[in-house]
Amino acid sequence: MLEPSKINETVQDIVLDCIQEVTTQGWGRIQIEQGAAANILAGGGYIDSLGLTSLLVVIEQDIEAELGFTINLTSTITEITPSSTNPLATVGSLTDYIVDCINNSTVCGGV
Amino acid sequence: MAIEFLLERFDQNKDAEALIWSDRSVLYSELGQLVKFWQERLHKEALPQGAVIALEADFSPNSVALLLSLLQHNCIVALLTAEMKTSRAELRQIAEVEWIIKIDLDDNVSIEQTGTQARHELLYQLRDRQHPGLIIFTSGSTGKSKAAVHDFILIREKFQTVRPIQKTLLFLLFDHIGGINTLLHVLSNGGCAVVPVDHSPEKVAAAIAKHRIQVLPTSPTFLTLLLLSGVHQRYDLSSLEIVTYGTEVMPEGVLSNLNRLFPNIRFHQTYGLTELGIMRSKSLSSDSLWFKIGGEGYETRIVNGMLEIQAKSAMLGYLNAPAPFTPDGWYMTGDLVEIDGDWLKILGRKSELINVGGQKVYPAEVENVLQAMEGVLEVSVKGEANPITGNIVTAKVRLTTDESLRDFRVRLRTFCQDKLESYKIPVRVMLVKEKLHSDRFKKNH
Repeated sequence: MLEPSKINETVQDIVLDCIQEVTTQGWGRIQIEQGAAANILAGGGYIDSLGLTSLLVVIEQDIEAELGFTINLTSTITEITPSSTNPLATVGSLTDYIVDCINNSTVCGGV
Repeated sequence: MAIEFLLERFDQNKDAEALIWSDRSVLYSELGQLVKFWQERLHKEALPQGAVIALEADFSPNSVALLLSLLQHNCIVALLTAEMKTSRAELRQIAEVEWIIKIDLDDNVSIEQTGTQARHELLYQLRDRQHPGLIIFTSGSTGKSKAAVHDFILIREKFQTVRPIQKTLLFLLFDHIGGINTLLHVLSNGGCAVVPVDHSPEKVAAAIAKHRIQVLPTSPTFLTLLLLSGVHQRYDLSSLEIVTYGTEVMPEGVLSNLNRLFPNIRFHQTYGLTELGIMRSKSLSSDSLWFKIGGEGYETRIVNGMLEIQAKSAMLGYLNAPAPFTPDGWYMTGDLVEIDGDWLKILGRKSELINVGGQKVYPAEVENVLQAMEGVLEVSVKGEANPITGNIVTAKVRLTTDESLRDFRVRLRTFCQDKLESYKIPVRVMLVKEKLHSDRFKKNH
């Protein structure tokens, strides 16, 4: 089991790697060199619907492969009400959301 | 008498080989005697005409002779194979089987009565006509098997005309409409059918080399495996003249590789359905997926891009599902096609079409591209519901390499970038160890 601080770091690395994988396809432009502050859907970032779909799927797969947690990001994120904090705003907010999923399985159906 | 015409042809070809099974040759005279033997035995067993019989077997001298004897006896024969171990009881129940005839791998026969009385309307229809019937189960790869009831008198029509014949491998199974079609085609023309030991590329190639097989009726999945296994480098396949393929969409890359490797073989696309039988067909060329279908007793039309067929030999209906015919008697195949004059190209099953944000994706097209990647042994593409784009394209892939999922995903995306529109590139990629085809050499999804 990873320490809590390590989990955060590992998840952020996974998110950044997955963003790079998906944006290389031309499905978005996200400045990953900004690390946690990089915008995904917040102003300045851009990812199209296919890119976003792919991003969530590959993150789910890599979280499972590297950390052994099964999470269902796609359906839980799309069910979030617009007034809630958007986990897809930045790399940091998405990382926090996933770490929350891992720590609290009720957040996004984690196993 | 349902098979009188066949018995006459057996007589005309009595010294010729009819079957090669377990490396044993059976002449037409011997097969004719075997049919006679089983006809007498059926009388002794007091097996009534019109009875519903489950014939549970693979191709063998006794299974062929018994099938013919049962048809001659006006029975309704439900065809089952050893492969159906788990579902056999359920299928027998659907077919309302009254008698079970089992033939084991050594060709030993056992006969038993079930105590069931068949009462389905379609079975009564056959009995009223005093016609023998066949019950053939759909493969049920995407759901429950459906039992298609055929009037054998309608099926046999196309075999009355004598046609040229070559030594043929019985690749398609005993319970498959294509297997029965191959068998009847061979026997009605005095040809020789060779039963392979099993359906692996190795054993099939060995049988082709040993028996100098000229015709191989098979499926695109098997041909893909044959290429990947490299058996063509170890066995002499030079006797092959015609390879027919059907049952699923042929990947263009596979067809082109086959043509390159085997320039002397004619690759011929066939089209058939459990519900209608196998139609006569003609490929535009050996390396083309465009083909014509039809022939006597078949008419085709395209409605909303989907192929519909009216066939004299169509089944009477399903025992366990509504008949899929239009009110004017056309069978809705569910196959989406492209047309160019009289020529057709099968794009895929309508039910398998993936709608990604309003854009259509044919799994076969994506499979085609992925199959061409180095290290890809098998691939199966389908859709998956997704709340963002409605559906996404997913791909299960069996590799010969030991790449990680991430490395393969990146390679796949790079490979597809200039070959597929972005919405067709698989979003979810899964690496699997198990084979992606059934024992019938059709894709599992």
